[in-house]
Amino acid sequence: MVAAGWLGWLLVGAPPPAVGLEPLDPATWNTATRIRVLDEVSGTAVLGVARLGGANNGTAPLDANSRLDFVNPTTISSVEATFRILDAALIGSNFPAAPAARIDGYFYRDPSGTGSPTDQMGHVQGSIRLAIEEGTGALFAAYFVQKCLNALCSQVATLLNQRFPQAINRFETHRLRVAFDFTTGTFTFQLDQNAAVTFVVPDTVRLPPSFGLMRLQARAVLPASPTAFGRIVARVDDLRVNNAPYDSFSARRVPRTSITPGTGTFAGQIEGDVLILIETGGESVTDVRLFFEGQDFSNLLAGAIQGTSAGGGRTFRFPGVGLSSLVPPGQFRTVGVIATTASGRRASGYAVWHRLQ
Amino acid sequence: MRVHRRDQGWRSLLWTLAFVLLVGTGIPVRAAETIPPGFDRDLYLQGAQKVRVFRRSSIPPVGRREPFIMGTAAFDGTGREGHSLNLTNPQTITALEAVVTPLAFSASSGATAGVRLFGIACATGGGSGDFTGHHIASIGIEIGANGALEETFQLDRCVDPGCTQRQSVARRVVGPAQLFQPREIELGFEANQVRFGSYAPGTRPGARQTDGTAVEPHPPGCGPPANHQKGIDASNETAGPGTSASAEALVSDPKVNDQPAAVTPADAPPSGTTFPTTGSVAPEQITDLKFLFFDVDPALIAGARLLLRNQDVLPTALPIARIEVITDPLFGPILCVTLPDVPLGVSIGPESELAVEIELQTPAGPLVVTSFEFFASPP
Repeated sequence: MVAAGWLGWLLVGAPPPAVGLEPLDPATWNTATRIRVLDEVSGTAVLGVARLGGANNGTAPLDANSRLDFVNPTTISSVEATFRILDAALIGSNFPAAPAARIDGYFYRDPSGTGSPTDQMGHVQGSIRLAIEEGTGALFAAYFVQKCLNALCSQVATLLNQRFPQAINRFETHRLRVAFDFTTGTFTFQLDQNAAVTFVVPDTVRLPPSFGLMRLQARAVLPASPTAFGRIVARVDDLRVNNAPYDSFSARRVPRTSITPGTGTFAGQIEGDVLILIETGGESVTDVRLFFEGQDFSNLLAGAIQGTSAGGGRTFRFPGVGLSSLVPPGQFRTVGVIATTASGRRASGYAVWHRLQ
Repeated sequence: MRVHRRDQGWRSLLWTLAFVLLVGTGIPVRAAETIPPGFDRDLYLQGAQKVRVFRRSSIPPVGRREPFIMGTAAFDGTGREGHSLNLTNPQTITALEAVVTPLAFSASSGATAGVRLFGIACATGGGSGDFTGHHIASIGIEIGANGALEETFQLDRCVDPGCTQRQSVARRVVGPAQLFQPREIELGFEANQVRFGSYAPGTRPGARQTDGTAVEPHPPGCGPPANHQKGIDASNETAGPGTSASAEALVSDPKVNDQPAAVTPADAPPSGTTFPTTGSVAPEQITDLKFLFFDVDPALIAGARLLLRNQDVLPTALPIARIEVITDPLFGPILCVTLPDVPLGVSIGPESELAVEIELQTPAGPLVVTSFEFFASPP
């Protein structure tokens, strides 16, 4: 029956998908059970957040986010980056903010606040994002401008809130750009190579922000519901700030060690190469130790296919490892590596392989 | 796409593993040192906290004990920060247990980080919403200011209403900890004392009620607290610019009052997962790819796609895909799609997503279930 179903595959519609980053059980775990992902993977940043239920088992809304805050945020007038949505899901309704990956920050303030570094009153926020739509589950790109109406910015006035007409799909690369011209009071929002959208703010007196806020963010604001669910995971790359390259997430300033396959779950028989990747940024590796379930198996490294990693470092590849033979059904096994560099720095990496049946 | 099977490597690995497991040659390992999170502190403010959990779902029958990973990392921070998984109905909890395996720990001089079971044991003050005087007991694995990885028991007192500042009342080093070596730990909350225990898995000497390794009496005047919190905590404490700390640990077999604590919800929607998961690949790398789908009724399948870089490559891949339903004793039927011997390093290019999407026609309407991962060559 399964085969018949697969052979009869048809491609239809685009309803809300369900995948990955499963939440914890709110019946067991209470207030802080959001999952946040913030990592660098092979020269790209991955930001994500997932959460089931509002705060306190759904009795109140909950703002779940994962972010990178820029240094010197009050000096930033433009930010652009490449975004690719890897995962997005939404279950429920009345989300204060649907799951989104975005560039977001304060670009100026009006004179209504005190100008204190802790006072957000009068600060004007510009934001551009890729998000998932409530109800349809479709992805879209949008932008907004809003102004804080009190010191904590718990109340805002929306000055602009629009969508781009272009369709957005998972795994597509999209370039997002937001900029503010302080002299003319003009926001610019741009999606890919489409014509930029401009918006002239109504404030004639514009001051530099006193409250620093400029960031990349994955965010979902859950409604007061125990069953509402929001999730977003995005790749972010090739970041430019003030029209200059800022971060490509490719620098290797500290040693790091990774193992492929990484932590994950499988079932049945599986066989494949196991790769140990040690990235040092050019520093030589003086010692590598391999562990399986806490036991030292470093002697196996001599039998691996060895190489150098791009940008400096070493690789060890074990071809055709029968992972299902290493992990009994219903159990998990931990593989760990500790690498030491010539300067004495250490970097440990691990993978937990979890096998079902 | 299929290539000749190569079995010499894994067979030799298996034999060696079997031999070492038999003779048991564990070697102590100290924690990694002074490795801050990867994000550049010159570009971003204090950052890089993360909590990672197995990308899994399904119906967890009673007794399911799924492992998960808790982690925290920060640089240039000030004070204590991190994440906690707070249990519901903490006032009813008298015992917490879990197996904790340290996976990655680092701290610069003066900074600390750890993964711990914790709970408010008693209080000498405070009131509803005011944690002043509340005493928090914890046991877990931490990297200390001296860089050593240790298993510690602590009793700390909150000194302000929000418990942003803590004062140490008692601290005991249970023993040195080693990366990748699991420990079974427990924390018991009793009328006038906290009981804590620590064992190598499988060596626990009998019932919890009588065999805890040590107790810590409540301080004088420390009575029932006004506020209750108990759970699992991953936290770090840094001391400003130039300091960093991180901790990641695998937590498995969590138990509350001697009962397994399920991790994922019982009413999880259909979902998918892929193995291997997101990561770096070498140009020569070849592996089987598995796409698993949970809670999917095969009768509802109306369509599917196999996507490589968002391009439908199903017609090419279908003839070699192995499609089967595996029945797992805990998760029930799992739809399993295997693509054998995929040359990841060649087929995906510098960076690509691989995904399978299944279209279900449910009574409530169409539902797409996706299983994907992202692979890239290192920069």
